[in-house]
Amino acid sequence: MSEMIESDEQLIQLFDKGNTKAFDSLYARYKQAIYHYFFRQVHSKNIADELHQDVWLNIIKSPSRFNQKASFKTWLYKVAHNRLVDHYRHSSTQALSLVQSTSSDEGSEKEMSVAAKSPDDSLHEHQLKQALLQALANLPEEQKEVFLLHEKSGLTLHEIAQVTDSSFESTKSRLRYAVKKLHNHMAQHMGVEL
Amino acid sequence: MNKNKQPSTLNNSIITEDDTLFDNYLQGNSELSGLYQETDCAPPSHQIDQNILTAAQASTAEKKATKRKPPLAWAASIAIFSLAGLLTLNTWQAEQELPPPALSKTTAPIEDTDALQQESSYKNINKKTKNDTRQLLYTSQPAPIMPAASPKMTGMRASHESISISSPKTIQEQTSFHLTEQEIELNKIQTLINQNKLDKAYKLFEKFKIKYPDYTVDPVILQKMAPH
Repeated sequence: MSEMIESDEQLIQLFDKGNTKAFDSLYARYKQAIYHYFFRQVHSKNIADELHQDVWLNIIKSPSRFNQKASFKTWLYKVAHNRLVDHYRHSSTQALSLVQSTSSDEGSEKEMSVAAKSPDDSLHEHQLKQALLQALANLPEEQKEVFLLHEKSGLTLHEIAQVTDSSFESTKSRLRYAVKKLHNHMAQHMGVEL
Repeated sequence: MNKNKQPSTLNNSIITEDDTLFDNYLQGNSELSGLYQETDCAPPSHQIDQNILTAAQASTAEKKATKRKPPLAWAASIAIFSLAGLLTLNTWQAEQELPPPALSKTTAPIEDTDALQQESSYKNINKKTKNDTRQLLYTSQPAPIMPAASPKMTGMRASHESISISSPKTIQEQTSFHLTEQEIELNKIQTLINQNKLDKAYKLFEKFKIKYPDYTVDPVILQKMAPH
């Protein structure tokens, strides 16, 4: 493959034509974001692994289903969203609390390793992050998903609306409520105005 | 009324604060976004990565194998049809390239004198046949051996030039070859009787009786030749 950086859309087309390296590049670009998207919502490393793998196997199985008119990123998150909805339909574990997930996945959390630092600043920062994650975990699923897609995946409100099959106004409203709730939670529990 | 206005004013101020907060967040001026970006989770396990990348490689290999199959099938079909076509063409060419009449233009090596004589005799017959087949006395020539008997002439076809059709008279003469002289004479007499040339027939019969007094003549001829 050439040295020049190719777009996501070019890479998926190359993969569809049999170029394995193109898929490797795509996977390297999005594996972290997709995994994060799942992990923050299901709060379980095992389930996140399963969902993450399913999404990518789905992409591998039918790359030709990618619609050239949409962006690859939107399509990828749409596949991930559909898989998550499917998981919620067939699973009763969606009500897991963040506390449970952090305790069970303690080893996998990078932020948990921050706690090993002894300075007070690091501890305070860690507490702030924990509070934010707890607040995020308490958000309704729809608001949480919109926040994650916007914050971690970098999707615009229009793209989030496409991924979640919602109107632009609904998406914007969900994000507004999510931000407000997180802000209020941090102010109430940590005394911090973010 | 005042009680109702106060919440309304309060609500308006809250909405305004929310809008400001949200606008700041969208513009990236909120610390909320920065704090969340610092919270990172572990990447997927190495095993999951391997599974996915291996599946991608397998899928690519399968696609390539699938793409190769149709051309192979096409190539096999083309080869079969080409072979059949070549066979047909070869047969047709072989039929077209058959040498001209074997009897007149044979190139078969003549290894012995007998074969040469036989061939030249047959050529003479052929020439005469072209001119006047009816005058040819087949019995006067040595019996020809068909050139097809020669190894190199085997399988050749006879053409209209090499075949002479004998007339009825020739056939009659051919059959007379096997008759005795007495029978020939009697045949002539019978012919004259049939032609109602009884005088000539009687004269010939008288000569025949003198020449072959002991020969048993057909009673029908005797009755015809009996003195009136």
